[in-house]
Amino acid sequence: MVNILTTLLEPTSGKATVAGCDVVKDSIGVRQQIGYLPESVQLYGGLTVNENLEYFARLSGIHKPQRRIAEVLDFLHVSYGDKKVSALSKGMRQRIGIAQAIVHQPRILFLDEPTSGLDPFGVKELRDIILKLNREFGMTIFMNTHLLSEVMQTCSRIGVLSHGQLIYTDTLANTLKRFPGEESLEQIYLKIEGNGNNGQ
Amino acid sequence: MVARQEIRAILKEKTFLLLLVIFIGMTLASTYIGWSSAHTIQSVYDSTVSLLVEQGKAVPPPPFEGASHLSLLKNMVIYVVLIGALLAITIGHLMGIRDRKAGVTRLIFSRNITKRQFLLGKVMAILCVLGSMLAAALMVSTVSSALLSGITFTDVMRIAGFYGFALVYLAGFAFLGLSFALTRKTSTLALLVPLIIWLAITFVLPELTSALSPTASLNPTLPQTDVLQSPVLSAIHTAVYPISISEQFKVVTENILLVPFNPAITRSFDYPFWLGYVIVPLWTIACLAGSYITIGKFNQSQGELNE
Amino acid sequence: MNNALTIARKEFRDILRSRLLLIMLLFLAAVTVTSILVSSQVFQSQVSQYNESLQILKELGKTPAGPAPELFPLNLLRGVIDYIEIIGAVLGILLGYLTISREKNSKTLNLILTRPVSRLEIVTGKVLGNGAFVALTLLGVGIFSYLGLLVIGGAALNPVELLKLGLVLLLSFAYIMIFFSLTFLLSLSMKTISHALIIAFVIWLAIALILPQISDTMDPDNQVPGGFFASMHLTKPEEKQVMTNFGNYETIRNTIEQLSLTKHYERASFAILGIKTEFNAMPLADILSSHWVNLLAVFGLFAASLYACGALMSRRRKGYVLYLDT
Repeated sequence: MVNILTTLLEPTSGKATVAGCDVVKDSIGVRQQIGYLPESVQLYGGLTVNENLEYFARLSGIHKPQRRIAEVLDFLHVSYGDKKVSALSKGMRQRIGIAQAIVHQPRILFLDEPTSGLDPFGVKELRDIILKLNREFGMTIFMNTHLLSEVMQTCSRIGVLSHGQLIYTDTLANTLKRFPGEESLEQIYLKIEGNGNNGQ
Repeated sequence: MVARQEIRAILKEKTFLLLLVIFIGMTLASTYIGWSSAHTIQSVYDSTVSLLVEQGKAVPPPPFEGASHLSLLKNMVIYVVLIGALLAITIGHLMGIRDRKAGVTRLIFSRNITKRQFLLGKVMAILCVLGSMLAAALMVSTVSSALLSGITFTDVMRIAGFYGFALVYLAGFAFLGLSFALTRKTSTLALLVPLIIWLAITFVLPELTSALSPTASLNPTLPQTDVLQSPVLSAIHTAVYPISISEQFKVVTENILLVPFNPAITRSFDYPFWLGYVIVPLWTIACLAGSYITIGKFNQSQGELNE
Repeated sequence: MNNALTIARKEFRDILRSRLLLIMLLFLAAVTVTSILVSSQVFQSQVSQYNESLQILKELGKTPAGPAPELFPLNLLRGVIDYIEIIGAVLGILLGYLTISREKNSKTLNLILTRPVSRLEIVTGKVLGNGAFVALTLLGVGIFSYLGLLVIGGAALNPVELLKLGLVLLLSFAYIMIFFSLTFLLSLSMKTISHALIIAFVIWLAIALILPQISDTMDPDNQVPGGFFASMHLTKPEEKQVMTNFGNYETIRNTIEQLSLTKHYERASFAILGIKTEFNAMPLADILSSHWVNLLAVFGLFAASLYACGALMSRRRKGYVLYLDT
């Protein structure tokens, strides 16, 4: 689904719009407004952090991106701009992955399993960054994750996919009210999944 | 166990199978092309004789009189040097890189196996696969030669000798591919370095030794060259000729197949006829020794190949 | 266009940082010089032989049968052309492979594709960046050839010869970029990218070496060192008369030869450089018009291959993602 919304893949049927632009008919319009962090973020290992960010910033239309890159690295507390990406740890690379996704100030940020492979400290840092991007910069965050604990702490609206179908969508607050008997989001999810599989 | 696993894995590799089909196809084509061109040149000679007789001119003897039945296979020598070597490098490369790519090196070496045993398994697999491939080519050549030209038992032995020697030649390239696949940081580099070495052996060294342009050295009938008149060329030839592996291979196959392959290169120093019989196996042994050394440096604790 | 130039700049920088490509470059430079050295030594030995024969004939009171060997400097570049056919093509293959493998291995192709960059701009940028490197490489080969001819061959090129050399370098550019495009296409479409490299090498072997070799094997004149018809003391018209009886065979042989891109490149280059001696005295315009088929084959394939790269990259098939994993 994320591949379709980020215009990497064309839908076989149906229609989707992102930020008012059709993903098929106006894919450039979509891409001008989104940032994307794939599941296993890889960058050009042989280039430095700054070189990677400059390249992606220019491709996003920023002609002199040096100042913007400095701002983003400062926001993310990154001080290793001159280090080669191949020398970074997974957590550090994840930060640079986020940096390339937000350097052009997108309206919508797509995060595909962003906490995958991170230690608990890394997960908390990522959560703080996501919340800051949303609350301070008004960025809409679309996050694809299996970590329900993170959903509880981060999301305001949830959707549940099962076998490629969207079987449930509502705000987190409404969802918790709707299933008062369930102790955790995990239990709510299992109930939704069960209902979804039974066609209810 | 390692050998069995390698053989099983490579038989599933589509690229290897494609190359194998091409090699066997070229083997079949080579016999036909050899027969067709020999048959045609005979007809051209007959037509030429008729024309000369009509004009009352003297008729020179056929320049290819007494050619061996096995001259049908002269193209096969070139295909071994070209496709055969590329196939051998691919086999060595695939066998060396597979475990690293899948990231199973640690799983293998957490078992009761030493690096030498690991290498031995791969070497056995290489020889088995190459041997089978050349055995198939041997059958194709023998049957097609028998059908097109009529060959004797001695000819069959000579064909077998040719493919046996080809196995020795190609094994060297396979071990080269294996060595680099075991140690290079990326699979690209692991494949490319042996390819560059193959380019140098197949084209650059023959140019230095016989003053032929690189592609001319692939012609089954080579032009005459005379390096004696140039002291520089003569010196280069004397120094480089012993290590020009592909030329040594061609000279030996000339002996085995009784195909007049090499031109009369006039040299200042006559190397013994048996030089190729020594140099080519030495080349293979050197490549095998290279594999032995690289396995000593092999990092058995590495995870997935970091491309 | 800005995006394409950004991508092109990065490609060029990546190539310059690649040790492997630098090694290929040095290898090409070394074999260029080696080839000129060998060719000039061969020519000098021909001159020495002629002079010795002349001396002997003078002592016997006879006149020489043929003229002295004349040096046409561009003739010494035959080996260089052969090496461009071989190593130049390999360079093109490497560049085409590496430009995609870099993206696939670092999984950055998706990041680029989510930028407001069209796929055509991506292809244009990669072609421009790699094309610039190939052009620079050939310029280097040209300079090395010029200096090699001057220093080793003792011959300076006049303006017409320089123009001819420039034309051949342009032809070489198109030739190398065809292999770049071929490997680019294979690398983009195949799941396991290293297999794309192997397939590209097999195709190169077939069209650069095997098809011409088969055609040479089938050539009756090639069956004997020095030429079959020469050994039978036949003139050219007599040779043609004999071969009219073998029209079908010659058609098949010519067709095999025509299938080889390398043969087209070689024929055009040899004619322009005068390596085939009958073209030494011919005006350049006549040479080009007599080889229009060969020129069309090379430049035509070059254009077609670039178009194919753009077309493949632009396809976003439903439910299909470009193979991202090696």
